Amino acid sequence: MRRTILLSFAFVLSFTAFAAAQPADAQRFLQERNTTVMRVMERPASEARDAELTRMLGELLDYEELSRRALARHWGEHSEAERAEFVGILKQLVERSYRSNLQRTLRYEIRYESSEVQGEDVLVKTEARNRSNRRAPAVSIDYVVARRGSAWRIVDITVDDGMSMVDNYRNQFERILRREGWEGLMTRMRGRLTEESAT
Amino acid sequence: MKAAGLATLLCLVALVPARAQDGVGNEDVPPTDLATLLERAEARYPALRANEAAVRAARARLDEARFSPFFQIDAQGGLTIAPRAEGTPIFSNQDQLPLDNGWAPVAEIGVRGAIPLYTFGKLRNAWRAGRAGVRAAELDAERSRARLRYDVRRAYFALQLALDIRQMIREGRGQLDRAVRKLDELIAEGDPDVNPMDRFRLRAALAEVDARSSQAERLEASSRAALETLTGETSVRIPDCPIAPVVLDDAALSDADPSSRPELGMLDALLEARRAAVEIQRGSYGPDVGLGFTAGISWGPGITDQENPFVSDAANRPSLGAGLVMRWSLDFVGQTYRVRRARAQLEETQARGDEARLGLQLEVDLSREALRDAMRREEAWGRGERDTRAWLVSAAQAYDIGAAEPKDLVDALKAYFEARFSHLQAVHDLNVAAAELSRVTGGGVSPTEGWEAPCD
Repeated sequence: MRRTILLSFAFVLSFTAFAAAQPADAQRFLQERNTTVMRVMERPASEARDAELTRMLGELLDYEELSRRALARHWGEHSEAERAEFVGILKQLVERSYRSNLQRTLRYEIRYESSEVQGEDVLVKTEARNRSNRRAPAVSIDYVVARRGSAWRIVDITVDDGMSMVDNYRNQFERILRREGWEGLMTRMRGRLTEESAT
Repeated sequence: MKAAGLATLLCLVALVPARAQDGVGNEDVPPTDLATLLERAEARYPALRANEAAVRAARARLDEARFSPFFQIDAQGGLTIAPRAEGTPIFSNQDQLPLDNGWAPVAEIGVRGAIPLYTFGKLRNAWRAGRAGVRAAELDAERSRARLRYDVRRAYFALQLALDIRQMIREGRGQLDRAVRKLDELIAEGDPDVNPMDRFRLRAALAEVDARSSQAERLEASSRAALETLTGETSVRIPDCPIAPVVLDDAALSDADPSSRPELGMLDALLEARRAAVEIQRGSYGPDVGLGFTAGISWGPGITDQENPFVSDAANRPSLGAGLVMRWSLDFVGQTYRVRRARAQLEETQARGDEARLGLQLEVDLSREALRDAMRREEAWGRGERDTRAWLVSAAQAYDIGAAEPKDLVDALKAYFEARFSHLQAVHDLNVAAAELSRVTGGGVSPTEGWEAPCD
């Protein structure tokens, strides 16, 4: 009886330690990536630096998971090749958009508010505040981070308790797919890829 | 757990402002917060010094009423020349006006006075009126101080609003400029997804931004000038913190009343002075009784001194005396009307006081409703700002991957800045309304966490 209690206690302890480690690891992943990219950004602009930034951005988000969640039921309706093309274009569009804003995000200070388990993922809540302009409103950003093998990847983002990126993409894709079909969606995305972002 | 961040870039696409300028005044001047500005205003504003002088004058009037009646003593003296005259009361061989006798000096000096012993309440009520005057002057100083505090707070919140709006406009102007340029390029390229009307929509938004920029510039200049005038500072720079709504206890808001208002105390003091005036006039039916005294001596060496005490010798006469004296005006008819006038003035003051009380209560009611309206608007526009910001983020995300049109982005951008402008305005209105309610309740309503949110 005494041994059973000890074992149970040990199990609870180990489970608690495991559950606590996950959110902390996910938050550490975000913090380490931030620090690394900041260091790279401080270097003089060069092609090598841009290539490194592109690689880092590519490792930050799980684009396939993002695509799968955003396309929802439509994900399974398409071939491997179609999905791969979709993920590739989405990755390029998202990376281009964020890269164009990278320099300006250096002015932001990130405060990590909390991290908690959410289903199989970890939700990390942060607040970004402009360091050079304290009058700019703070922005709350919630990251949904998932483990992929030994690495962590961001799979969704929500700004100011609004619509998450996955939900937003899902709504937009659903609307376009219903009206214009798969080819219409791909044409739009390819078209955007060939032009500069207006933002 | 702070760190400069990259992960943010994944979400700040539409929210990252262009490089902000300081916009908070001279960078060489250290920032001064609201509490410090209030202290400086209270130490330097000329109207408060005038009030302090008025209080000193009222105290001096009271002291005069207390002490002056007991020092009603007159001294008189004279020096002249008169014809010499010799003789006794029984015989003199000279004329009554012996101008040919030659002339000699004649001097006279004396004092006389009275100390009041009983005045039928006139003195007591004069002191009562004097005390009421001091109280009124002190409360008038408090009223001026409350007004000054309100003016400083109002100017401070206006400056915060102006700086916030200018920051927002710098942010929005850059984004709109870039959007217009991009739209022009897309239209020139013949992009079928771009509606030329979007360009007009954007240009209209730009015109509105420019107009609001002008308003904000004027607001900044006028509020800064007001703060400098009120505080005596030559250059005001406030902390670079956004305007934040003050927090008020709802129960205190419901119970707000003007009972602590200095004006009410001033009304009471005026009534007290009027009652004292009535008592003074009623006391004037009776006489003033006091202790009178006199002493004097005259000396004329050219005129024979008549030492007989029963002979009046104006040129050589010592005098000394003291006793109960009385002064009594027998104008009872006139006094009746003076009493009636004083009573009527008391009644008039009472009625005007009642009217003022109603007005003060009305001020509280109106201020409270203005505050509640501002609180509701602040809450609504706060929601609007959050929602439109989420809308803007969603539109930007969708636009970047080709899932939204430029119009969607323009609409979201315009809606966000409108909501943010309105939210800032509502926060300002809330804070000014709170300051006004605090003034009209005599400080009875104050924010639970202070007038200025801590800003790190």
